[in-house]
Amino acid sequence: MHTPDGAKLLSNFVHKVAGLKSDWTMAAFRGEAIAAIRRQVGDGRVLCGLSGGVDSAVAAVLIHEAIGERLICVFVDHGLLRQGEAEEVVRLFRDHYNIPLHHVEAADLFIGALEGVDDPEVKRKTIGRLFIETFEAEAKKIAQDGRGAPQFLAQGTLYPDVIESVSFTGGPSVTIKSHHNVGGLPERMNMRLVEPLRELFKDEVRALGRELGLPEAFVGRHPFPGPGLAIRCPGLITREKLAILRKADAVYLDEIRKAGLYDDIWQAFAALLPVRSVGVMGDGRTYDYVVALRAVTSSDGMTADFYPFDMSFLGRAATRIINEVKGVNRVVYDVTSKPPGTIEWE
Amino acid sequence: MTTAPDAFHHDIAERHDKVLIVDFGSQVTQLIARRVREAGVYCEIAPFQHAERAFAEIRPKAVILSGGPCSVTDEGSPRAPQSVFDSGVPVLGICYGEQTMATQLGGTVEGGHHREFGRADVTALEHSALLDGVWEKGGSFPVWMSHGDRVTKLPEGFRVIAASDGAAITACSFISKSCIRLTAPSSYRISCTRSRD
Repeated sequence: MHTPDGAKLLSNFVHKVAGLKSDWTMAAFRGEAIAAIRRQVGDGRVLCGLSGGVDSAVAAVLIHEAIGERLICVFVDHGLLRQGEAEEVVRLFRDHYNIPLHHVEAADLFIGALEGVDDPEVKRKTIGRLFIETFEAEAKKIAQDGRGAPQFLAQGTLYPDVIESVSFTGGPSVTIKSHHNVGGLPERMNMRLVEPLRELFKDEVRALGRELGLPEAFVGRHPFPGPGLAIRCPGLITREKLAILRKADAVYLDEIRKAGLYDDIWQAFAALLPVRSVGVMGDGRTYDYVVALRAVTSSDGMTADFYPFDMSFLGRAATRIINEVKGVNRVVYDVTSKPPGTIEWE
Repeated sequence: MTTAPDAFHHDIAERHDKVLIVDFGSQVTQLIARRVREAGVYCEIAPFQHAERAFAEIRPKAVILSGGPCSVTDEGSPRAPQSVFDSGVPVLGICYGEQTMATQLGGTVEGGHHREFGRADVTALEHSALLDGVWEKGGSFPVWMSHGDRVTKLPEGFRVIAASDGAAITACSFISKSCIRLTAPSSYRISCTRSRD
C-alpha cells in the first residue's frame, strides 16, 4: 500500500512516537563535518579532483573550510565538457572561494586519443586511463612543491554508494562506484581517503552546497557523465562534431531555462547523431547532421521517463538550433524511457 | 595526529539520535531514509542479514522494518532480529516489515491471497501519535493497495488504529510500559502486501 501521507506518518513516528529531536540539518552537519575533517587530516595536505559536478565541488569547499590552503584542487579539463563549464569551475574556485586550483588543460591529449574511435567501451576506457595518468602526473608535481606530499585524497562518495543492498540470491551486496576515475591512485601514491559526504544523500549534498554558499545554478545542475560529450557523440569522434554538439546543447539548455523547466527535469542534453540528412535552407540544398534532444524525469537515475514537452517548445528549440548551429539541419526528440533505453546514448 | 575514515563516520553519527532501517529488499528503502532525514532525524540502512550487528553497533532510538518482495509464510523468509523487539525501542513495520513483526510476536499472517491493486479508503478508528494530524479519528483517507499476504490475527496487546473498507487491519499499535510498537502503512509509494478483504 502507498499513501501520499507517508512522509507525515514517518515524521510522526520519529517525533511523536519515538520522541526523537530534529537535530539533523545541513547547518549542523557543516560544523560537525569540519571538526571531523580536522581530526582526520591533522596537519596533513589533501588533494581533491574536481569533476565539474556538484559532489566534488561541495566536498572541496567543505574541506577548504576545515583546513584552508592545505587543500589542493586539481581540475582536469578533458575538452569534453559543456559550453562554458570549465571556465565556470575555474572562476568559482579561484575567484569566488579563493581555493588553490591546478587547472590542467588536457583537451589535446584526450581528443587526440579519441579521434577516430567509435566503440563506446573503448571511448570510456581511454578517457578513464588518460584521466588517471593526467591526475597522477599532477599529483606528483604537487608533491614536489616543497610543502610535503599530500597524504589524503578527497572523494565525493555519497551514502547510496556505500549502502549494502539486499540480494536474495546471495548475501547482501555492495557495489562501490569508482568515483571520478581516480581508481588505484590512493594505493600507488600511498594516500588515504577523505570522504566527507559519505553520510549524505544527493539532496542533502545539494542542501549542504547551498549552506556553503555555492551558487544555485551550480548546486541544482543536472548530472553529467564522467566521459562527458564523448558519449553524446555516437560513432566517430571528431573535433568538428564536438564543437557542433557543444553549441546545440547550449542552445537547448538555454531554451529549457528560459521556459522555466530546468528544475523539473532530471537530465537534459543534446546528442549529435552519426547520420546526415538532406535539407533545404534558403535556395540551397544542405546535407548536415541530425541532433537528438533528450530530457528525462527520474528520482534516482535508475529508472526514467522522457519529459513530455509541449510541441511548441520542441519546435522553438529545433528552429533555434538549426538557425544558430552550422552543420545541423534536422532535430529529433527522443521519447524512450529507461528501461528499455538508457538515459545516455552510449 | 590523524584518524581513520571510520572515525570520521563515528564522529558524525555519535552526535545524533539514530533510526535504523532494516531493509528487506523494498524498492523504496532509500526513499524512506530520505523522508526520515527530511524530518530532521539521522538514520542508517542495514540489510536484514546484518541488522542484528548494526542494531548492536549503532544503538538506534527507533527501528523501521521495510517492505520487501518475500512472503513471511515462505520457509526461510527473512526475519527481523529478535533483539530489536526485546530492546523496547519503538518499531515501525511497513508491509513485509509489519507482517514479519506480527509473525515474530505471535500473530498470524495468511498468504496465498489473490493479488489486488487499486485504491481503497482507510478509516482511522482511534486517535494515535502515529496518525496525529494525518488521519484524524473517524476520517476516511485514500490509499493504494497491492495485496498478497495479510495479518489475520494481531499479536497480543496490539490494537487496530485504522482499517480499510472491509475489515482489514491497516494500522495497529501496541503500548506497554515504555515500549510502543506500531505497524502502519507508511511511506509514499510503498507497495504493500496488505489485504483490503
